[in-house]
Amino acid sequence: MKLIYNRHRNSKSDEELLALFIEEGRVGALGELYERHIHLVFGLCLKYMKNTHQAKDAVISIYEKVQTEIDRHTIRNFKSWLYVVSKNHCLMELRKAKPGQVVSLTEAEKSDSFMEYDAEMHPIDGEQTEEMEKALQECIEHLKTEQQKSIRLFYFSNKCYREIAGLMQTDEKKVKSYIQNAKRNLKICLDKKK
Amino acid sequence: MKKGEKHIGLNDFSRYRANEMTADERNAFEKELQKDPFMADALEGMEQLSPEEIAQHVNELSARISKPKKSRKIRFIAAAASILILVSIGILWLQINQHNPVPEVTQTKKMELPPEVQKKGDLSPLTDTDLSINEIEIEPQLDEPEITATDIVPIVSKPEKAARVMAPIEKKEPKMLAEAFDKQKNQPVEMLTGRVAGVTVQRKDTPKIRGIVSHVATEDNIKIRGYATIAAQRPPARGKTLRGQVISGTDKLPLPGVSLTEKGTANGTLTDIDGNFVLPLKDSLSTVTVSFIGMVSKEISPADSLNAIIELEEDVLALDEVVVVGYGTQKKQNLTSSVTEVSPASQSQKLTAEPVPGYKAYREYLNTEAILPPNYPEDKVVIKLLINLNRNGAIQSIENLNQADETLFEKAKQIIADGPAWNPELVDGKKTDSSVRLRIVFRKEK
Repeated sequence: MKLIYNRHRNSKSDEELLALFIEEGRVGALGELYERHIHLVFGLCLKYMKNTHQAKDAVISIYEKVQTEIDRHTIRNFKSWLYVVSKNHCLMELRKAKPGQVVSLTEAEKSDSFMEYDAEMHPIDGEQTEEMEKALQECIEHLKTEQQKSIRLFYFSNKCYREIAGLMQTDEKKVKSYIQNAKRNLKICLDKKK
Repeated sequence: MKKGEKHIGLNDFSRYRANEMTADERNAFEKELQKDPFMADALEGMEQLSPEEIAQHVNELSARISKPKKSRKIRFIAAAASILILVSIGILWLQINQHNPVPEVTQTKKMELPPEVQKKGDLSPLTDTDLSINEIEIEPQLDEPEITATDIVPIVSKPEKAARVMAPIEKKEPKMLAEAFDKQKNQPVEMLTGRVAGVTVQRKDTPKIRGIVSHVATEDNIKIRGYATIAAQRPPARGKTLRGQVISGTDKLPLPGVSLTEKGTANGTLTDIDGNFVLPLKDSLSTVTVSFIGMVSKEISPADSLNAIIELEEDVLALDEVVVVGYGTQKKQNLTSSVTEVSPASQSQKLTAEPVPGYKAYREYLNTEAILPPNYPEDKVVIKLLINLNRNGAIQSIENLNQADETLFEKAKQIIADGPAWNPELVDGKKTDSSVRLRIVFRKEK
C-alpha cells in the first residue's frame, strides 16, 4: 500500500495520549485525541442528525461526555469506544426529539467493552495464517459469481469500487453491497470450518 | 489507532470524495471503510455536504475543542474557592446579623427605676420586646443647662447589650444626656439607646407603628421622648420550628415517611401520613435535608420560610439502571455481560362492557321490546348497532352498522336508552371508554 495517509503531526499514538490524560490529567492530551477523530464524529453526527447545526452541537456535547465518561471505563481502543459513545449520543438525541419512535437501544456505552465492535475483526481484513488463507480461498470458491468477482478484485487485485463497477458493468453501490455480503458469507463459511 | 498504524485524517476523506486519489489509494481507503464502521458511517454523513464545507465545519469544531481548557485541578480549585467564598459570605452575614447594632450608653452604673413614669396615651400597644425607638429626644429641663465640652461622656456602641437609661439619673448624667441630645441634632439616633423604663431602645429600624414614648423623671426633670416603632420583622431567631408538607413533584400527592434532618445535627423527623411535618430547629440558619427513597433529596433553608411545601422529584436515575442493548451480535463465548430474556408482558386483564343485569337478561329484554309494527313488510329485521360507552358506562352514541331502516334504528335506540344500564369496560380494573356491538332482531308479535 502506498503511503497515502499522512501520519499525524504528532507521532504519539492514541494509547499514549490516552495514558497521558488518564495518568497525568492532561486535558490537552484528550483534546488532541478527540480532535484527531473529530471529523469522524462530525460525519457520524451528520449521518444521524441530518442537520449541520445539530451535528456540530452534538460534536461538542460528545466531547464533554467523553471527558466525564472516560474515567469510568477501561478503554482498550479509544476509537471504537468513541464510536460507540458518539453513536449512542446521536441515537439518544434522536429519541429525545421524537419520543415514542423506536430509534433503538440505549446507553450501551455503559456496558463498556461489550459494545466495542472490533471485538471480532473479519479474517479478510486482518493478517491471515496459511491455514486461514487456505480456508478463506475455499470459501471464496463457494461464493456467488458477483460476490466472488468483487471480493477478488477488491482484496486481491486491489481495485477500488469504481474500477470494479467499471469492470463488472454495474454501479458502485452494488459493488459495495456485493463485498459486504461476500464478507458476511465468508465469515459464516469460515466459522463452520473451525 | 495502534502505534505504527496510519491515521486517516479529514484530508483523506476530502481527497477520496473529490476523486483526487489514485485507484490504489481508493482501494486502500475503501478497505479501511470495510474494516471500520465508524469511518463508513462518517463518510455516509459527510455525503450531505461538500468536502469544503465539511473541512470548514471540522476546523471550526477543532478550534472550539482546543480552546485552552482549565485543567481538572483548576476546576477543582475553582469549586473549592467558590465554596470558600460562599462560606465566608455566610459567616460575614451571620456576624453582621449578630452585630446587633444597639449602641449603648456606657454610663450604666447608677440605675434605679424611676419613681414616676408618665406615659402618654398611645403607649398601650407597646411591649417590652416588640418595641424599638427610632428617635429619642431628651430634653433636659435643668435650671442651668450648662453644657461644656468636658462634660461629654463618650458614648460607645456595644452590641447585644441593651443599656438601661433610667431616670432619675445622677446629676452628671443629665448633662451628658443633654450633650447627647445636642449632638443628636445632627445625628439624632445613634447616640443614645438603651432601655428607657422598660422600653427597649434600639437603633432606627424600619418603622411600622409609631407612638410617642415619654418619660418624665420628676426629680431631675429630664424628659425622654422618643418615637417607638415596632421593629420590622426580625430574622428568625434561633430555635424556631419548621413546619410544612412534603409532596411528590409529579402527582402533588403527599409523601408519608419522608425524612427531614437538620444538617450537621442528629435532629430530624419524618412526615406523617399526610406528608406533614414539624421540625423544631436547633439553629434556624442551618439547612434541612429532605430525603425519600426513590426521590431526589433536597435541601431547604428554613431562613426562607418556616412554612414550607416541599416538592420532591422522582429520581430518574433509578429508572436507568436497566439497560437493554439491542444491536450487534456477540458470540456466547465472548459475552461478559449478563443476559436476560424478556418476553412480552402478559395481556392485560380486560373485562368487556356488559349490561348491568348480564347479557342473558338483556337479550330477553330486547326480545320483548323489539317488535315490528304489524303492517311492516318483512317478518324479521336484524339491526346491527355499535354502542359507544364512556368510562362511566353512560351511552355516548349509537351507530347504525348495517344501514337498517331509520325508523327501526330510532326505535332500537329508544329500546336501548330505556333499557338496563351498562357496566363500563374494565382494563386491569380501570374503567375505560369502549364500544359494544349489538345485534337486535325485530320480529312481528306472535
